Amino acid sequence: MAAAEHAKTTQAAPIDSGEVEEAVREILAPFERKEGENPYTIHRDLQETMQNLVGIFRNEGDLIRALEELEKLNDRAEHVSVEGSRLFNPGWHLVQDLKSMLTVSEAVTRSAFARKESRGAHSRIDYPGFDPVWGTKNNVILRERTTMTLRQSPVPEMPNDLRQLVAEEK
Amino acid sequence: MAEAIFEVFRGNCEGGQPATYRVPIAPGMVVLDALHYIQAHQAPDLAVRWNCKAGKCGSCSAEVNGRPRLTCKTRMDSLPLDKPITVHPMRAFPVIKDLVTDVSWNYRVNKKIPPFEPRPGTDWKMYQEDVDRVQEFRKCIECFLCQNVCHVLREHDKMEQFGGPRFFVRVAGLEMHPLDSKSRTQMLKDELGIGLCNITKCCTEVCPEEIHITDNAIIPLKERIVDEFYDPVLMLIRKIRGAKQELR
Repeated sequence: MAAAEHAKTTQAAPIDSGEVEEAVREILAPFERKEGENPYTIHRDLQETMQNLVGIFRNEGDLIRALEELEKLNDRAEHVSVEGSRLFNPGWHLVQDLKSMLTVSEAVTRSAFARKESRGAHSRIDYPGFDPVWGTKNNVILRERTTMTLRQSPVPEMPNDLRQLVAEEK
Repeated sequence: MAEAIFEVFRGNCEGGQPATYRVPIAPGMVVLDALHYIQAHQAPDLAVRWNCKAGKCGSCSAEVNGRPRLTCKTRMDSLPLDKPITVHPMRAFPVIKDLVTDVSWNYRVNKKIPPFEPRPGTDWKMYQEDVDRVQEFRKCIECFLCQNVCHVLREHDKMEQFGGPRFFVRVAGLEMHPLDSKSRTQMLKDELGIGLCNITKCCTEVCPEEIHITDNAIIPLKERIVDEFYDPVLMLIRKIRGAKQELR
């Protein structure tokens, strides 16, 4: 309700037309590029990298290699080409999705590297047990211009009713 | 490794023709996997609708070797590999691009159908057998393969006068709901044109959820319409009962 009220009274923020043009250029660039790579190949290589190096059982060496591979994939993703029209073109859609996939993959890998313990679905063969200190921390991913940084933030206090439930379960 | 030859329709609303692709076959592959292979290696702009890859979302409807099927549920080992396998878009709907068709007409028809409306203050209890009857209709995944295959729509182009099997299933699910208070029989007869159905049962044959569309939805609805509008004995009884009400 409050959001609707606010929306009625405010105006949209002004949008820089230069930024819009730049965004359009960037999105259409794969059509212009003639000798670039097929986005499907990069997608497949990303799948292989994550499956093999950031899979169910993780270790430090693999995670470091994964970050290197992801950087290469990021570079490759800058030089993709697509053919065909703009109407319902799955190859072109994949180019946009690839950016998100690579971002998420990098975030997952960085977090896995930082968390030197095993907890839930995150299993480090080199750190197989719980670490109570890590149990109090969440990983937070930030973008600073084009780089990704990681920092920790404290796990929020468990609400009392939930704490009681957990105690009862035990 | 075995290979299959696919002839996939490429084109748009103005027309098109099949293009040939060779695809290596792996065990357990379905037609959708083959289409993805073609997208990844040979035709990155091949337009295909798909989503769940599990036969539940109804997005990947197409005509494989002439039969309306879900491409994610059509196994390669169920198809003969010695001839090319044809994959075409659903013929009853206008083509947008390649295998993607415009199915928006269906959503417009749906808007005409009054939704479920219980009587105010209804006691929310039902018999299991009444629930089972309508649960079958709620299995529908709106793949529109039944709409596509029905000759009234596919061959005779009667989209202005005929709702199609999907919507007879929807109305059946509402009419046969024990707690619904509305009657949609007039609409079935007039706007949705259920009389045009001549129970050839092609819809039942193609339904991926195996809903008995003709036997459990269309025929009982037709019977209700006959009872209400065409049965002289029932009309007489209603008239007599109606007159008795007035006398009281």
